[in-house]
Amino acid sequence: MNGLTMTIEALSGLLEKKEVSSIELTEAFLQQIQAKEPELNAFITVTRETALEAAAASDARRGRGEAIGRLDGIPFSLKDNFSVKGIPMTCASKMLGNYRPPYTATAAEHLLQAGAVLLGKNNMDEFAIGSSTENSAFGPVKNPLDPLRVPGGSSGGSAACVAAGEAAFSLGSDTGGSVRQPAACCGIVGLKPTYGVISRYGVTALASSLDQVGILARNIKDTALILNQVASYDPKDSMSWRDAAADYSAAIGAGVAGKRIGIVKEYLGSDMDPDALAWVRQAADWLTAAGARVEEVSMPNMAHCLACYYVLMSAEFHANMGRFDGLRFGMRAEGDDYFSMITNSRTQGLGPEVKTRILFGTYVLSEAQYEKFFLKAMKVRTLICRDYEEAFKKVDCLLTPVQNGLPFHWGSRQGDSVKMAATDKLAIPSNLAGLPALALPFGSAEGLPGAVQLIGKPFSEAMLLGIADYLEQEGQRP
Amino acid sequence: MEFSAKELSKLEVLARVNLSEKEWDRCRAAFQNALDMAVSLQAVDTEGVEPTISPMKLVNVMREDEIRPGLNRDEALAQAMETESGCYKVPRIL
Repeated sequence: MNGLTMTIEALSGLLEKKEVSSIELTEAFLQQIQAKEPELNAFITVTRETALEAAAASDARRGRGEAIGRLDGIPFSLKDNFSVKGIPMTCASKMLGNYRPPYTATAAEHLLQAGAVLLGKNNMDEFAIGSSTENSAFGPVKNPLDPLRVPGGSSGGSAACVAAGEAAFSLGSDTGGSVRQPAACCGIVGLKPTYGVISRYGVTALASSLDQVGILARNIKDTALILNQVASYDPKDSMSWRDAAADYSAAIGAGVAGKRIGIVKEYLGSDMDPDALAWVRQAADWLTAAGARVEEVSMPNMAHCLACYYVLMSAEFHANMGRFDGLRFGMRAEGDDYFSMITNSRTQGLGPEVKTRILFGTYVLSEAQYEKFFLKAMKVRTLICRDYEEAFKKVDCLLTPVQNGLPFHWGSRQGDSVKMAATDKLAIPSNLAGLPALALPFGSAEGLPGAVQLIGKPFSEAMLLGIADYLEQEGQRP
Repeated sequence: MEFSAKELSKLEVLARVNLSEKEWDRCRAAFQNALDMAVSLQAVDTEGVEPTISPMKLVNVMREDEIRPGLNRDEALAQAMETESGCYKVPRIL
């Protein structure tokens, strides 16, 4: 079967016409996983048996004329920081080597209820700390498009597996670009919705004021379809948004005429990669030709985003990681007393990048440094949010690069977490402001796909998907 | 602003996690870079600016104090390394 890189739309069409069964589809993806995994390492756990059972149940429903919807019978994967009851969840850490969650993440539950078939859990940077998926206790993930380059991170396994035809789509988490940047590295679509649109219940928290569940998919229509399924109010996530949009596909095919698109002046400097700029300019030209109005906007506080993010993220991460103490779940090491047991468990169970970030978070939250660093960063965050508010008085959305050029080469940023985080400096700002942002494959360089990013006002996902769909369709024209 | 080994030891106690000498050698530069970057924020004028804690307007979430289904005791204890008589077991505290 040759449909592993087909869209969900195409695959569900085949299922509807009964040209293929979900079991056949699932077996084909499982075979692809078996063939590709020795090279890619995009999965930590493959749930072969439960996948085939779910596929059989989907086929039976369809046979009775009771198929649930377009996702029924479609194989997908989850980043390994999503809980699914009874299936191991490691967060790519030794700390959770034997952990099996006793409940299921709400976003995953929505997909399972829709009949989607879970193929397994994807490799990632340990506890989602990283931008290259080099920092996993289960070994690094390779980029299916170029083995010398990283697949991005921290949702690198999710992006690599979708790009390599190992799953039709995947869910990841995006704290500072961790869905969009790997999507860009692997030539697929990555969407981080507005903070609060998708429930994070059951997803291991990194930095709670920045975390959002994101979608990695093959095209824009698929992304909208999945978003329609997973976006919902969830009382189990205290930051969940109560007014879910009606239909995120609504603006697809509506064109871009009259849309006001902003190009960020501060992202046009000499420090920018020429390819990344060329992709943005080309996308701007296409949108202008279609009747959109493109103009420059100035956002002076974008320069502080990386520092602001690094301080806030480390602090929140430090707080969230307090739960890993060897008492109730996770790894427990021996210790002479209670506190040495906790220290030994954390010291042995966590990798160096994670530990360094925890220690930096401890530092910026310590009594002597709190005001100087943590409180200061929260105030700078306000200035960053204001930049967006000002920009959105003039334009409907922003068009920027996702990252500064092509994915970097293996090992080139290992061991330097600041350089690593700098990879995401163009993706981070929308997390700080909680805005929807989408990475779309666009243009190319050195035979690899490029990407552009669209950032919108809160809850403007439908509009972003509409504009992105226009660019995607234009790009596919002969 | 230089970060000293003494300060690191203090943080290790607070965070209850230790870095080996090899790990610290590997991460020292990153830690110093992060600190330099954090220091750079001092130059930003934030006079009179309120801090942003969350990108979303915070609304207190309340509910009636009613019993709802949850994990039973066995499920809750299933992931613990050591239990006794239906409780978590930990090394001596006192």
